[in-house]
Amino acid sequence: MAERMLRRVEDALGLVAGLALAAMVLLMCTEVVARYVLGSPLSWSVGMVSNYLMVAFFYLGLPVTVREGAHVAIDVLYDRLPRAVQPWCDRLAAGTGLVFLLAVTVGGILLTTDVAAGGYAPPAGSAELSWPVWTSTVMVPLGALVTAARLVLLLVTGAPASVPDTGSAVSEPEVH
Amino acid sequence: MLVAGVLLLLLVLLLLRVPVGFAIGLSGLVGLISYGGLPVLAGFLETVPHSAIASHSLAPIPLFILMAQFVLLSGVASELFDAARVWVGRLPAGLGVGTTVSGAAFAAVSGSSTAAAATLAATSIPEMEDRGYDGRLANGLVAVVGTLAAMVPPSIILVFYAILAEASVGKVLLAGFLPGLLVTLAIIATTLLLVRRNPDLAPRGEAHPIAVKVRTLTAVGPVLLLFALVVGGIYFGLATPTEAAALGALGAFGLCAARRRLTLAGIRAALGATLASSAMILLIIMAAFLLGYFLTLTRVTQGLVDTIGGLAAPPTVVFLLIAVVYLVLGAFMDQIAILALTVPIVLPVVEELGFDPIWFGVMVVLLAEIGLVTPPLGLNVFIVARATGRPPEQIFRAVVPYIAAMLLLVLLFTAFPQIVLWIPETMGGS
Amino acid sequence: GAAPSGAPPGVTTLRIGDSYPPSHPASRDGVDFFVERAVELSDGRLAFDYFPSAQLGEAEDHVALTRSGAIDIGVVSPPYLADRLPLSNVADLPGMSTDACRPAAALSELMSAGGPDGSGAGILHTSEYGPQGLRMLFVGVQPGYEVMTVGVPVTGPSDVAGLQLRSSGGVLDAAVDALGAAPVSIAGPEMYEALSRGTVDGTTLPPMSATPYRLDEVATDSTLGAPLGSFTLSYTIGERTWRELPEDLRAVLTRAGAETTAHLCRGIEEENERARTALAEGGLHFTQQTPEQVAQWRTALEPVRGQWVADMEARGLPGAATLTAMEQALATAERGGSDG
Ligand code: NA
Ligand code: NA
Repeated sequence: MAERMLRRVEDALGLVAGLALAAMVLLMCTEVVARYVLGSPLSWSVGMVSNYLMVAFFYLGLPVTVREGAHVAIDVLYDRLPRAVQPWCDRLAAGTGLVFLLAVTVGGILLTTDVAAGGYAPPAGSAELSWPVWTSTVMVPLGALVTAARLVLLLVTGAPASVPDTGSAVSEPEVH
Repeated sequence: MLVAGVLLLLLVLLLLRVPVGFAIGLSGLVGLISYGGLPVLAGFLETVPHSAIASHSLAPIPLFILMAQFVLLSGVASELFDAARVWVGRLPAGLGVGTTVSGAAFAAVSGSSTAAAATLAATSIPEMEDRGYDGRLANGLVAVVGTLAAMVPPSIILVFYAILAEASVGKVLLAGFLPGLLVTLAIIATTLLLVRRNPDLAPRGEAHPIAVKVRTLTAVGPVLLLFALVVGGIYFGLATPTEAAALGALGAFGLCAARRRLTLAGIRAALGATLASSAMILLIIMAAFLLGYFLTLTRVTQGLVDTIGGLAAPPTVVFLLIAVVYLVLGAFMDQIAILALTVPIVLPVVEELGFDPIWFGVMVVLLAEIGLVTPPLGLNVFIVARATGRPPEQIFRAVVPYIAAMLLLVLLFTAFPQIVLWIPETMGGS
Repeated sequence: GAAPSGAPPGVTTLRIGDSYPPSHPASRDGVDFFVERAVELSDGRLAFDYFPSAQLGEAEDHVALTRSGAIDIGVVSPPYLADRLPLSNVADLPGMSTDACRPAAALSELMSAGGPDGSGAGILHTSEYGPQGLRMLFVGVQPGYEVMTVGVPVTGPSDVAGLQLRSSGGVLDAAVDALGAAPVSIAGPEMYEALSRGTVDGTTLPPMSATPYRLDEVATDSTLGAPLGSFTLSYTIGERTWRELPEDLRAVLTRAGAETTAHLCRGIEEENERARTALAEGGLHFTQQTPEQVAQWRTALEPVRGQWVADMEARGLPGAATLTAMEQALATAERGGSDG
């Protein structure tokens, strides 16, 4: 039940991350055409890519990648450990990730509440988009918190949180 | 003492199979809070997660990986390898040499070692393994070839060095050219030597008549076109290196369309694979900033450099000790972070010793690149491992001969700095 | 507060962080001078640990780092923080000043935190630095943004119309826009290649900022004396650290800061001059703008101030009052900066 809801949230965020990547490609290509062919660059494109598209791509995409075990780990000792010990290593992995991502969540909340309370936004008249800063920073705690929720689930079930050691050729997780 | 404890914690977490990004991140947290308590930790937690990722200069990583995924989807990659297989014929390790050369060319353009490694891992390793290459050799080779990106212009990292060192950007970029070429040759020579000692690593192909060879060239055209789009975009001033990555991704998408390989499922898979690789890389980079700032605060680097700089030893010996420091840092930190942290401290010492700042820039970048494939934190090795599902420690073992070859080059450039300085001094103008 | 190790008893060690390399005036004539004075004035009871060159984060990050106490004294460069500290860009408006000392003296009034009870605090402290939990210790202004181009000599504002110029954001974008040129945002490290390959027609920078990027190697022409604008940078101490310090050490920091403001502006002017010579020797051709041309620049850039005030007021910020305060402080500031 909780698993299914979490999965939906992860997939929805993952979809936005994929769209952010596609938007990055299109925006940069448009910028090249606008500058070189039309002679009128989109002055806001660098800010858009760094503050929105990169942040959305990474933070909203992170939950899916953790669920699919996309984060590498070193197996050399693990493979030689007794079978009974291995689940504890998996729990340690999920626990480590959980602590780290909760810390990132807290940092993101500190940042977002600060910039939202101050009402910060790039001033009109500068080349950047004049969107409130929190619309960018809020993606940090959002993505980190959803990832942390998945890690809680991994901690409970004891499933590994890293690339399965298949030794086979490319095996990419899909965004559904 | 504190630093040793934190690095030990990192090592233990890594050995117990904690994902690399999580392990670095937690070690960074522990380090920062033990160093300065909650205020220090809170300050860096508020800034690092957002500003490390909200970075235009990281954009080429997902963009070049996406380009590689579309090249795979178009099916042109395997035809290209067919062409390479037919043309190299019975040459020993022909495909490996071909991969090195084409990889070096791609790395040269991409300007990002991590993006280059991820791209090559997706496109060339499966093909090499299909042709009977030893998997470890193929993985190791690709991890090493990716490191060429920072040496051959355009190179964001060499420009960054030049700005930090206040040296001529043009000369520093030119200085990377010949060493980049020599590193390429050293990688090829190492591959040939390995295959000669153990012919099972890479099978010989068969000879083909010229008519067959010419027929395979149809696959080369589209790839050359794509290559021309990216390289030409940069060299003719159409696009910045970052934008060229986007042009490449769109071009590869167009290639899929032209070859009628575009399906919704295919596009989704390409985006998903790009997300998986990029998220892993970006998480490690973000976490490495936290750990890096902890190391900076403790001033271990500065202490080391001061100690080494104060030694009454011949300049070459002192430089080699500094080189060891860079190798160790490269094993734990992001290259840009290493440069920002060390160049202002180390460069005056190095200049005092009588070394040229342009030469030093090339050496620092070369050493940091070697760090990208050295355990325990060789980012390029993790990227390749991520793409192929092979255990990182196998790849670490496979790159050892290549590291040895690159270290020999470090010694060569130290003994004969003219090799590095020749081009910038003869062509660099004023 | 105090660093966890190394300092002998009775000595308070403060961490300073900024984004400038050790050879930059902000570092050499700013932080180094400040540290030397503060150590001397406190008889060694203050010690400092300095992290230059963005070793602890990007320029923008130093506000949060200083406020939280991760570092004690941090750089605050309003042009990089146009979203957080928009009013503090007032000295960077075009035509404000072409030297470094008068605007620095004026700003040190506007940014002053006032007396112990907060009386006499400047408008920028009450509206921006104070609410951020920061107190300005010293401030510098890099004057002299010029238009640097590749293959296009600029003899007046009309030559700029239609060009694509790399601009670093904030008020400067508005100035470039007002001249009929298109501001392009390109990251600093990519600027050299962008100019050398013709991705953009030029850039706007003060000479001293152009030298580290070695623009003399790629740009051919530069204006000299075009009143495009300036770049403000300040060093601030976090309120939390400040409150933990004893009264006499606070007085030391205040005095050392005021002396540094006066010293730094001369360092900046000398560096700008040195940089201009070096760039000229490197092949960058400077075109001195005649008084008539300067007047043309001023006319072309005139709408920027009005627009800036309107934008600030639209956001509910005291733009008009800040501009008036700045103009008055500039008029009364004497060359040589505030009292030392
Ligand atoms: Na390159
Ligand atoms: Na490494």
